[in-house]
This record gives sequence, C-alpha cells and structure tokens, in this order.
Amino acid sequence: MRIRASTLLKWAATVAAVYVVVLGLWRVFEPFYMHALGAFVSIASAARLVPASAEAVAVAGRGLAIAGAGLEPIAVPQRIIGADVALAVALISATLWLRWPQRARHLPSALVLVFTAHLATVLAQIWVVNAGSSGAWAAWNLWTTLYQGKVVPLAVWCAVMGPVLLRSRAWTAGPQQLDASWR
Amino acid sequence: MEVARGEASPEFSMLSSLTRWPALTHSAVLGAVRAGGVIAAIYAFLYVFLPATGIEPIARLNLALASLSAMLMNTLGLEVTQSGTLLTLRGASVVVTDECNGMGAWLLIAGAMGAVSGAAWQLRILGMAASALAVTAVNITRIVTLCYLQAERPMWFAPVHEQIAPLFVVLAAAACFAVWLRGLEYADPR
Repeated sequence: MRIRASTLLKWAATVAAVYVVVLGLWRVFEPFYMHALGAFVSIASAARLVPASAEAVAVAGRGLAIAGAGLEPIAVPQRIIGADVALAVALISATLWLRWPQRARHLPSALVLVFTAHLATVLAQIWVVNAGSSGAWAAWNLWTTLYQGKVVPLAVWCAVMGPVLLRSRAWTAGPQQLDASWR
Repeated sequence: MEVARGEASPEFSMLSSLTRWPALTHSAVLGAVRAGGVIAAIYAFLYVFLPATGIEPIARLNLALASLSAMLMNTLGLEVTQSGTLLTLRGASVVVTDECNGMGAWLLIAGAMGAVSGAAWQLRILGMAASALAVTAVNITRIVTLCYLQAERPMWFAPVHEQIAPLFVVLAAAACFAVWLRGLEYADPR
C-alpha cells in the first residue's frame, strides 16, 4: 500500500474541515441527540437493564445527567459526545477512494452506530459504577482508556467502510487473479 | 461459461468475488482479533501486571509528561511551577491525569500495527516505539497549550481540551500509522 504525503495531507485537511463544520452543526443537533440518549436510558431503566431508579436528564449545553436513589450520579459531557459524532462524520467524509455520494450514503449507518456505542457506554457505566465486579471494572478501565483515543469514531469508520473496501477489492482482484491462472 | 482471455465478464467478476469474499472476511476478522489481542496484552502488562509488582508505569508517564511540559514552558519564558502532576501558571492549574496521557491513542496505533499481516515483529515493535515518541511529543504540545489557555483564555480551555486537541492526536496517530506502512514497503518491497 503506497500512501503519498500529499494524499495524507489532503485526507487530514478534509478530516479537519469536516470536523469543524460538524462541530458547528452539533450545537443545533446536540439537544435532540441528548434527549434521544436520555430517552433510551429511560427505556433501559424501565426494562430493568439498569437499576429502575436511574433517571436521565438532558441539561442544555452541558450534556446528560443520570441519577437515581441509591445510584452514583453520572455526567455525560456533550462536548465529548459531539467530538465523537463530528470525528465519525469527518472520517467517513474523508474516505478519499469513494465518491462523495457513496460517502454520504454511509453516513446514516455511521451515525446510528455512534449513537449505539454511546448508549452502550452509558448503560455500561451505570452498571459498572453501581454493581461492577473487579473484572468488569478492569474491562471498563480499558474501554475508557481506548475511548480517550477516540476508539468510537475509528471503530465505526472501520465497521462501515471495511466491508466497502473488502467488496471493492474482491470485485477488482477477482478477474486479474483468474486471468493470471490461465497463463 | 466461456470467457475470452483477458476479458472479465460481470458474471465472472461476481463468481470470483463470491469465492474470494470468505477469505477476505476471514483476514479482516483475523486482523481485528490480532489488534484486540495486542491492545489487551499491552494494557494488561502496563495497567495490571507492572502495578502488581510495585512499578507504576502510568503514574510515572503522567509525571514525566508534567515535567517535560513544565520544562518546555519554562524554556518558552512561561513561569510555570510543578508539583507532581500539577502544573500552575499565573494562578491557574492543570493536572496531567490518566485521561490525558495519550495512552488511548497509542494503544490504538499499536493495535493497528499488530493487525497488519505479514510485517516482521521487529518492525512492529520499532513502529510502536516511534509512535509512542510521536504521540508523547503531540501530547506535550497539547498540555502546554492547555496550560496556557487555562491561565490566559479560560473560556477556551474546555472546547480545546475536549474537542480540538483530540482531533490533532487522532491525525498524528493516523500519520504515524501511514508512515509506518510506508516504512514497511522500504523494508520489504514485495
């Protein structure tokens, strides 16, 4: 795989530009995202996936606060959530080997995956903080370490774009390989 | 099915992709497993095994980052005082914690280097060591910037800390990985 410096710079510039634009847009979408996250936490609480007393409250401009009787309170800062969303969109948008319409087509599934990862992280945190064993704490600490390295947007990019890359390789590599086998 | 030599009919491409798909999926899954294994092994060594023997590598890393950042800031003429991992500039303080030592980004680079098939383990270890230095350099710049902002532009601290700086760390990590991939070509041009 040959990666040129100019390609890398173009990629980085695209990532940075889209990231900044999405961070700007995030100020508009943040309340909806946080309310949706809070609603799913309430559903999980009603379904007893987490302690039934857990209540999520979206605080405008701050994030999500989760508290309840007998529970350790948890704060989910909106800026960190926003950075994940913006980076996931930026990485998909900067997938240079795809055309723009193709990249745009993969954005909804990427956003759904980011939301799912955030919801799973919040639910896991509620569970670990309140009832986690030492093994669960170790796994949680590994996750938080990777989380600060932005594992969510990077993993979402791999999950969404990996199959596209594999499919394109399979389609382009197939004929040449068979052709070569005839010689 | 007859196909002229050198031509690839759509049917032929589809057939070949179907036969290659399991192999490609298998290699992707194997890469993901290898990345997860490398990350888990390094994490277990640094965060579980070494602390159990009385060595605290992460605490030492945080302290080293704070010391190097203080040294750089004093060289730049910013009179910063250091107390352990606490840096104070003109009455405003920042603490270098486990969340801001760059280990997350470095573990992901190490996992990515571990996932690439066919690379010699010496080259992987060399890449991991070099990227650790690169991430540390970016991180020291980040800490110095954040310390300055906390003292001079406190309103900017949180957005830069939580939104802007992580972008640079991710871009630096991607650059490390790309340079390492390029290096693999020179080491083994096959």
